[in-house]
Amino acid sequence: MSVATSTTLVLLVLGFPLAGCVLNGLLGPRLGRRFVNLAGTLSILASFVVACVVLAEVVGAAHGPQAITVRLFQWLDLSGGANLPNRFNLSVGMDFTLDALSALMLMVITGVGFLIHVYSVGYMEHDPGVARFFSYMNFFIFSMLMLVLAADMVILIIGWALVALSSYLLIGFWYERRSAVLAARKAFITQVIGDVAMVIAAFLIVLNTHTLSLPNIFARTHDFAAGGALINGICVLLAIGAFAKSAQFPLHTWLPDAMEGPTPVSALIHAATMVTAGVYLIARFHPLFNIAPVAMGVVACVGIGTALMAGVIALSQIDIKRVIAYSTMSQIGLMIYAVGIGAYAAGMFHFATHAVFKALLFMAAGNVIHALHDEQDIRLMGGLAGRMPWTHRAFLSGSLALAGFPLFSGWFSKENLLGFGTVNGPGSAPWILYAAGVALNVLTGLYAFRLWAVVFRGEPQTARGYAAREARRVMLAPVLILAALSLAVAWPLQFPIPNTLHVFSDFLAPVFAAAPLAPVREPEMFVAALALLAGTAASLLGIGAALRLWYERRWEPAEVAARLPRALVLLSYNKFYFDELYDAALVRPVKAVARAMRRVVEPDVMDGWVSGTAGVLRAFSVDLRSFQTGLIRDYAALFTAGAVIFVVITVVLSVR
Amino acid sequence: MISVNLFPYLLGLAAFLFTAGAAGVLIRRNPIVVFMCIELMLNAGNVALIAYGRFLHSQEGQVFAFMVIIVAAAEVVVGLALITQVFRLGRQLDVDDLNEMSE
Repeated sequence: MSVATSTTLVLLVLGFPLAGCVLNGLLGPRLGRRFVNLAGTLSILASFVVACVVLAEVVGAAHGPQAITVRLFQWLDLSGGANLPNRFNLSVGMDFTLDALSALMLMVITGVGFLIHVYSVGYMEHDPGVARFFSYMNFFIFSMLMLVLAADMVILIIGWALVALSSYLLIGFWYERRSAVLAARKAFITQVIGDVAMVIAAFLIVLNTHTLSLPNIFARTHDFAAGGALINGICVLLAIGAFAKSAQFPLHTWLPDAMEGPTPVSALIHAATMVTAGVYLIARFHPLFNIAPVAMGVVACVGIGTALMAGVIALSQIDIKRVIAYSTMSQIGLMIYAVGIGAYAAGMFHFATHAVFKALLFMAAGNVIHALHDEQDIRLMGGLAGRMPWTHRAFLSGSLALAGFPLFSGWFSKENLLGFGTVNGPGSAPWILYAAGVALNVLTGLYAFRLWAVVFRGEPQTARGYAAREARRVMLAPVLILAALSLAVAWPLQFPIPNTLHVFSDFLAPVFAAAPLAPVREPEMFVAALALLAGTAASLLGIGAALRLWYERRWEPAEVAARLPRALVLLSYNKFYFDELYDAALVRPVKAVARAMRRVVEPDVMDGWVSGTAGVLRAFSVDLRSFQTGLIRDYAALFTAGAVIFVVITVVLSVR
Repeated sequence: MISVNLFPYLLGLAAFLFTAGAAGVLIRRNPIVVFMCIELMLNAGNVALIAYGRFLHSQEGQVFAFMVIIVAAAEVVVGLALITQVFRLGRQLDVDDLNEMSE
């Protein structure tokens, strides 16, 4: 893979979505719906084709350079500044990296992204803002690709902020709805907290390594004392950025609200791609995280903690999209846990399979919502299996993959990940977090099949439910393709037992093997097999219990809930009271201060001075008033004339 | 990298932008457009600053341009708040209509 080829590939893969965004944004409203649909989807398809070429090049370059960095152009160059101390020889270039990790991300983003764009053609069919929608969606793909290709901290942060912006635009797509606007704002503000942490981390990195280029930073990790406070601090800051983007505790509250956006947006941004950027970030910065054990411990604990919390919440929610959102939060927690114990490849594998089955679940849910005329309350659903057979089959396939049913893709990636959890982890007792992971399997089975049983089984609860029809082909085809993938994609890639089939982790191995220190330990064969059995048994237990509760109704869910500790039920139903907590701890104090300012400081203190000054001036100004016409344009004209006279005088004087 | 001396062209561009902005401020009556024209004038200044910075091989031009951008952002905040308030009072958005200060 030569530099010239790589440059062309980078330009093409980024260029197509950007072109789609500009075309749709500028010309879409004039050229009409057909053009918008074509330009929106074909640009992503073209990008996907280029991504396939990238993948082929990376696989083909097995004996050549493992990663290639191209510079499109030099952007900021601060090396020439005579006034700057010499050690800040900073330069920022439009640098992009092509390696196994970015190739994988490219494939998932453009591949799943393309299917979701096709689905959007059907989903947004009657929306007047379809050109705006596709423009934003294309822009999101562009930003996300920029984020995963970036080989410079500045470019990475720009991509990081641009995906937050597109997420904001798309959550608030239906801007007439107050709730959508508020949700968009909440998502954006929460993510900016992460951005600030990232920027501070970048400052600390540049202070110590004098460079912002990622390959150079990773080559200079010896500048940091391994395990020292500095590197741990930097990694914790990076992790805060990851937590904000990936909706992890304590910055997770925006994700459920983000479901206000159109369903394709939830599938693309809030399930498959953007929210997993935190996992990618930690995997990309693994040379730093490897020498920061404290930060790794924080990441692992936060990941598994969020996963459990979100799993518990998902059990009691009643909005179909929110249930899936909490399951996303939970699965991303698992990925964060994986990268937190150093099992980067395992985390990325779960990312890839999760992107497929979670996008599928969201789009199938979108079909259900469409069929029921925008009904999202699962208590009013039911009995859809016979009325929407193909959506039902696809949803079932996604649920089986999510719950980790053997031989579905989620099973491979989740058990692979948990296998690493048996021997890796923070502190002396990694098995505690591993046990939490197994418990999570039970929860996942429970909430996944609660949703399936309540939505598709039983009898319809409303007239609309009886009249529900299968979705149209354009909305069914992407769902079915993803359903087939969620069944089969993991088989040829990775088997959750060591020393067997490991295509996926071998593919990513060069990326993670290059960094020194802290290689992740492979579990022994016996331990891994035992873990596989335990994890699978836990998943099946969860699925079985869910079927008893909500399908066969052998146990009445309400009675079971009454027997559980009341606090747990309340916590789950009220989402652990985080919204209320933040409202009380942050929003209300600020509002109270503002009110006090308005009531006391503003009228009595500030206005006192201002009115007093005004009174004095008024006394002087009575005679000067006639100059004041009150027309701003008069003032501006006088001002301009004065400036012109001044310039003319200066020029005349200097010429002489 | 670039062999043509860009400096005079950049100054010409700055002058053009500034004139266009000033003309807009004088001619237009919609405060939002007036506002955008002021931004145009500020950015003409930025172009000149950066052009001079490049011409004199100094970073200060760029640094100062950043200061101008920050000031312009602050100005946008105040200005848009004013315009919004005027609009909320049910007034027409016309700078010639807003002449109470003369009384």
